[in-house]
Amino acid sequence: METWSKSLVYMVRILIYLIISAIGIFMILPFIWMIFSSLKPSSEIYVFPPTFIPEKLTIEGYSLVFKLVDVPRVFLNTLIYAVSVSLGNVFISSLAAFSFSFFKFRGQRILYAIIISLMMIPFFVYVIPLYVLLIHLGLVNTYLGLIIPGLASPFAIFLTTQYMKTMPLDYIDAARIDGAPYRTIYFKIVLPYCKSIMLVLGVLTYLSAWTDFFWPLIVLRTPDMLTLPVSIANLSGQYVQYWNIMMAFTTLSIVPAIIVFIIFRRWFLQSVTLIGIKK
Amino acid sequence: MKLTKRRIKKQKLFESIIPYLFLSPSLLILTIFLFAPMIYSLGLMFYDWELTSPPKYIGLRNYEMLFNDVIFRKAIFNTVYFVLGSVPLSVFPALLLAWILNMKWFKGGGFFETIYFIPVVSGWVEVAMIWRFLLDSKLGFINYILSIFGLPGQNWLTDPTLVMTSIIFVHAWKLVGYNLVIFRSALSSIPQIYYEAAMVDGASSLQTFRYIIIPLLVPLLFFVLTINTIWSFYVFPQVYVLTYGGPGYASYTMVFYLYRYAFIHYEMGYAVAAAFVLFVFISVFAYVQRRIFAKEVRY
Repeated sequence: METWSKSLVYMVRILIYLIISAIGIFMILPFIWMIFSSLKPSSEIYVFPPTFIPEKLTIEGYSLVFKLVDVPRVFLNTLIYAVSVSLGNVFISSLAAFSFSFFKFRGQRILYAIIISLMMIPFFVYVIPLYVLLIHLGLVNTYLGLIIPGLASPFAIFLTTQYMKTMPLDYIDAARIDGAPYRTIYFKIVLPYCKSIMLVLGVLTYLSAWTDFFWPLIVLRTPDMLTLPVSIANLSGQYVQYWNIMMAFTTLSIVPAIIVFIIFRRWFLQSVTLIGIKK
Repeated sequence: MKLTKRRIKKQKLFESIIPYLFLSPSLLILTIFLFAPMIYSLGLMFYDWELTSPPKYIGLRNYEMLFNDVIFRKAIFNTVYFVLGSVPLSVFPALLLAWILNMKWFKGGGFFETIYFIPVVSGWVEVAMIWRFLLDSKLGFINYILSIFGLPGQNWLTDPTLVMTSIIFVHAWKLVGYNLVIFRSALSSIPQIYYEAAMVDGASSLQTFRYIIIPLLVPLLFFVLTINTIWSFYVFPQVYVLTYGGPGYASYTMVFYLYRYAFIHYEMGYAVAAAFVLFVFISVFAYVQRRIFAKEVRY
């Protein structure tokens, strides 16, 4: 009886492993399909039944992408957007958090409350006047127009402030008694303490800017200014049936992100859990 | 004594400016690029404005036109259908998977977590592009697999009755990994003693899940459901890439509708009104969720 139930437990466990692995394959397979398809010659895209592993390997798809799109430029655009938005956000929100955490000043509570409540406002509610504003400032289809509105976010300020408030005040007081200026306190004491939250916030903002679609789609106009997601969507307008080209471009865009993720896995996963738990 | 008093006073004045200085970059950007446009929106929705001509006040006509538009009603229906389908599909399987990956005997939880998270780090556009190919009725791999099992292929993205369901599915496929990571870390923060107590009482693992884990996770579950609901209401790149609203208007969602009217037709006032309808829908859903959970949390 005992051994029977034990082997039943093992059977169930093996079954669970099989299911978990099957789901894992289901998560990976589309990416493998993408990479394999990007290496097929166009003739093989249209055969039925479709092949999974290419019969003939070719980089035709990739060379066509480089002909149709200025790929290095598009990468550069995406990089400029993601780097400046994430650095800006981390820096500017840490300044605000410093002020909210260590000072008492008139209007502090109401300002913080307003910033928190701005978190609930969907982007779509103000994006239309924001776009009109960019037109008036002459910032449509420019890096500045793309970047500046994203440099501060209520969410980043909230997250950094919540973290900074956990810092013991003794450190600050000690430095103040020693007559250290605020600049020193901020750079030498507070920032090192908040390193982890800033890294997490940076990773998160970087990733969301790298994959952002709606905002670049409306701000950017000419092909040389587009970011990767917009450029892919743009190319698909004409070439959607040329799947080897589309999959080559998609691979170029996704694979660096996946490699970065696997290297910095811990920071990515931590960024998710931190936000989930902090709430 | 006098001197120190003056110094304190001077320092106080200095300190009263300092915090505002630190705040100024945030306040400046948020005021110009968020707060002001938001206030402007509140007025804009009463105007007929096509960017080229001066705005014309038309009162509530925008809302009247919106609700008389069959396509907008279709977009509302599709969005609600999408939310109701995609939120449970991306949250509850994630909870179940997190529970399994965290079981004591299960080895390699971290490995599978990484695998499940790969779709999360890929952008919406890229994911949608891959699935558009996979779901293609002629060239796609999914229909081919179905044909191996003798099942008929479907027009996943071109059949008006099926298209929203396909988009729901792609959405959930991408987000399960995200929710899984949240649940998994919450599960590992539950003190071991709870499990042990349940085991001593002879509870099966399913009972432990139902009576220990779920109640402990209710506040987090509420949070996860809320953010997933909001994301689902924002459904846009998926629609843009997979179907561009088609076939016909079969996969129009509220954000897609807003996008079309604001940035293709340049009907700014009209699109802002659509945005506020979306806002009201999100608020109502968030409120209802809160009410449901307020009841649950008590137990």
